[in-house]
Amino acid sequence: MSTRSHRRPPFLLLAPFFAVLALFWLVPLARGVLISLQTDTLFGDAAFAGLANYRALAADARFAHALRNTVLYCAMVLAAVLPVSLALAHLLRRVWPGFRGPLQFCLLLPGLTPPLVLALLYLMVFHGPQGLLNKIFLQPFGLPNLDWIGDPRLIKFSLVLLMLWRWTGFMTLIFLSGLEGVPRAYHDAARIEGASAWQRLRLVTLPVMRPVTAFAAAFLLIDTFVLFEGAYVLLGGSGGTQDAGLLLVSYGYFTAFTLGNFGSAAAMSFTALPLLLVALFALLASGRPRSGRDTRKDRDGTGAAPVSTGTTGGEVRP
Amino acid sequence: MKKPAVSFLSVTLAAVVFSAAAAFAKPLQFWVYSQKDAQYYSDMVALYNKKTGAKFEAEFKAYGYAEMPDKLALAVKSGINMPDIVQFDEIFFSLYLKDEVPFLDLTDRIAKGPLKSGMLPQRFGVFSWKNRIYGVPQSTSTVVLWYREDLFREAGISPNDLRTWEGFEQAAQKIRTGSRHMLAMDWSYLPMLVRQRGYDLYNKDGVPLADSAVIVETWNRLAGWIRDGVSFMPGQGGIFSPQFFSTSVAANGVMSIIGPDWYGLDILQNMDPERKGRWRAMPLPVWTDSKSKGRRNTSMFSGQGLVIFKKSKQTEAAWKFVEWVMSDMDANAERYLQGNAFTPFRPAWTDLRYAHPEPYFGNQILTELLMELAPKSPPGMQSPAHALIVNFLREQYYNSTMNDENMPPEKAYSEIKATLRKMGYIK
Repeated sequence: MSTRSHRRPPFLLLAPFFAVLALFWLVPLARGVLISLQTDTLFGDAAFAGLANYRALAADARFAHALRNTVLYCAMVLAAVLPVSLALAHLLRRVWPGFRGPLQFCLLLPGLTPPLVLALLYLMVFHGPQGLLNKIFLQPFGLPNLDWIGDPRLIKFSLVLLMLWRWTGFMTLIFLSGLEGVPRAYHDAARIEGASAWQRLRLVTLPVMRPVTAFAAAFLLIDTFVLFEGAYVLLGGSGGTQDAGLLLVSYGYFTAFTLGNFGSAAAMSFTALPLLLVALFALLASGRPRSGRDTRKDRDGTGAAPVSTGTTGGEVRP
Repeated sequence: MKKPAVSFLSVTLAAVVFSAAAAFAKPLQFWVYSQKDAQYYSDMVALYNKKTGAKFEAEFKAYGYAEMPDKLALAVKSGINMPDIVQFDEIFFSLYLKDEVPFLDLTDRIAKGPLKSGMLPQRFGVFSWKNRIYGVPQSTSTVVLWYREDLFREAGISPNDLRTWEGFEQAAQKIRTGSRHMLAMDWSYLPMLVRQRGYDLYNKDGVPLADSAVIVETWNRLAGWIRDGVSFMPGQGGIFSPQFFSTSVAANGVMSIIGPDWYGLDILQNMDPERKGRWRAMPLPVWTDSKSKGRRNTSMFSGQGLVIFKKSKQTEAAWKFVEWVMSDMDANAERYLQGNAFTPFRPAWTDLRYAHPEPYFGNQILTELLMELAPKSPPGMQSPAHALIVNFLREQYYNSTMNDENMPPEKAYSEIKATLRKMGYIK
C-alpha cells in the first residue's frame, strides 16, 4: 500500500471532529468578530462601525477597571489554589491508602458540583449577618460580622474563596498524579546528598513537576478568566459594591443584556482574548522541560553541592 | 465512502422536514416567570375557551425572574423561538424602550374595551411610553407595611404608633435586641418612598433623576435608619432572596418589611410558611414634611403585566385572550386566590371572593386594605433608563451608601447621574 493511502484514514476519521469544531466554534467566532465591528443593539438593524467599539473601549474607565480586576483576580486565584493544592497532594500521599480513595472523592465533590449550585451554597455561608460563616466563626468569639459580599474590601477575597473551594480538590488530584510521577530515585539521590525536605521540594519535585504545574495553572487560569456563575449569583451579574468585583465577563454581560449593546460586548471579549492567550502561552512555555543541569548559582544553606538531577546529559525528565 | 454521506444527508433532511411540520402546528408561545404563573395562565386558557367558545392554544415556558430578560433578549436578537405573549416585569420592559418598541401598541384596543374604564389608571403608566400603552398590568402593586404582629406585641408597639415616619423611628427605639431590627431594607425602598412623597426617579417624559433634592434627601433618610439601627440590609438579593427568609426572618430578626401587594401574597407566603398567622399588613407611615406632596399612606413598586410582540403571527388571538384574562371576574379572582396578585381591574373588586379572611395574615381581610389604598397609589412612569438605574442602585451603589462613609448618597447620586449623562440618557 502507498504512503499517501496510509495517511488518508486518520484525516478522514478526524474530519467529523473538525467539522463540528468549525460549526460550533469557528462560525460563532467569526460571527462574534463581525458583531464587534457593528453597532449591534437589542433592536434595530446592525450597522458597520469599523473599530468604533474598540476605540470606545480604550476610553472606557469601567472596562479598564474590569480588566485590572480580572488580572488581579486571576493572579490571586493562582497564588491561592496552586500552593494549597500542592500541599494537600503531599499530605494525601502520606495518608493511609485505605483512606486515600474516600478523601480523593471528597476533594473532587466541589469540582463536580455545578458552579451555580456552589455559588448558591456559598451565598448561604457568606450571606449577611446570619450567614453561616459569621454565625459560627465570628459571632461566638465576639467578633464583628463581616459583609463578605457587600463590603468592597472583601468582595474579591470572597470570589477567590469560591474558586479555592471549587478547584482545590481537582488541582490536588492533578498534583497528586504529578507527584506520583517523580522518580523515587531523584529523591533518594537528593537525600543521600543531604538535601532537606524543603530543598528536595524546591530542587527536585517542583522542577520535575513543571509541566504538571503549568497545565494546572493554565486550566485554572482559563476557568477563572471566564468565571461567570459565581459572580452572577453572588453579585447579581454586576461588579457589586463600587464595582469591586467587576470582572470582564460580568461587564460584558452587563453591556450586552442591560445596555443592549452586543457590539461593544463582543469587542470586549476580543480585546481580552490576546491577553489570555499570551498568559496561557507563557504558562505552557514555562512548563516545558529545560535542557542542561538544573544547577544553582550559590550553594544552599547546608553547604551541599547543587543537586544533580539526571544521568543523561543532565536533562531533567519527569 | 458514499454510504456515510447519504446517511448524513438523510438524517439532516428528516430533521428539517420535522422542524417545518412542528412550526406549522405551533400553539401560541407564552413566557411566564414561574411554574405557579404557568399553572395560573394555563388554567385561564382552559377557562377562556370554556366561557367564550374559542379554540385558543398556548404553550407555556417558565423562566426565573433574572433569567427571563436574558432569554428574551437572545430570542429577540436571533429571531428564533420568539414568544408571542410575555408576562414581563416593568423594570425589564424599560430595556426595550431605547429603539423602536417591539411590543404591540395596545392603546386603541384598550380604548374599545372594558379595560379603559375599569383598570386603575395609574397602573397603565408602567407599561406605557410616549403616551402609548404596550402592556396590561396584572397587579395594583400597592405598597403596604408588612409587619409581624407577634413581635410588635412583644415590643409593645401598636400600629397606631406608626402613622408617621417620625413615629416609626421612635417606635424603633423600643427594639433593644441587637439581632432584631424594626425594618429590613434594600434598594427598592428608595423608589418606593420617593414615589410615596409624590416624586419619582424620572419625570413623565422619562428623563431620569429630575427630582434631585427629594431623591437625595430620601436616600439620606434611609441611610440614617441604618446608622441609627432602625433598619438593616440583608445580603445579596435583599428582601427577595431565600437566604433572607431562612436566616433573618426565621430568627425573628425582622419586625416589618415595606413591599407591594404581590410581596405579601406571593413571596411572603411562599418563602415564610412557618410564620403563618403572624404577619399582617397596614398602610405606610406618612411623610409630614412640606416637600412631600400630600400625606399619602401608600406607594407603588414594580409589578408584572402581559405584553404581546408585534412580530407575533397571532396578535389578535393573543390580544383577545389578554383582554379577557385581565377583565374577566373569575380570572381576576383566581389570580388573587392562587396567591399571585391583587387585580387593578376595579369592577372585579366587588367580587365577594376577595372579601375573605386570610389565614396566613391572621385572618385579616387583606383586600379591604388594598382596595382602600390602591386608588391613592402614585402614577407609574417609565423611562429607558429605568433598568439601568435599578442596576446601579441594586448592584453598585445602594449597599455602599448604607455602609461606607466614603460613599454618601450625594456622591452616589452624582456618579449615577454623570454616568447616565455620558450614556446619553440625560441631555
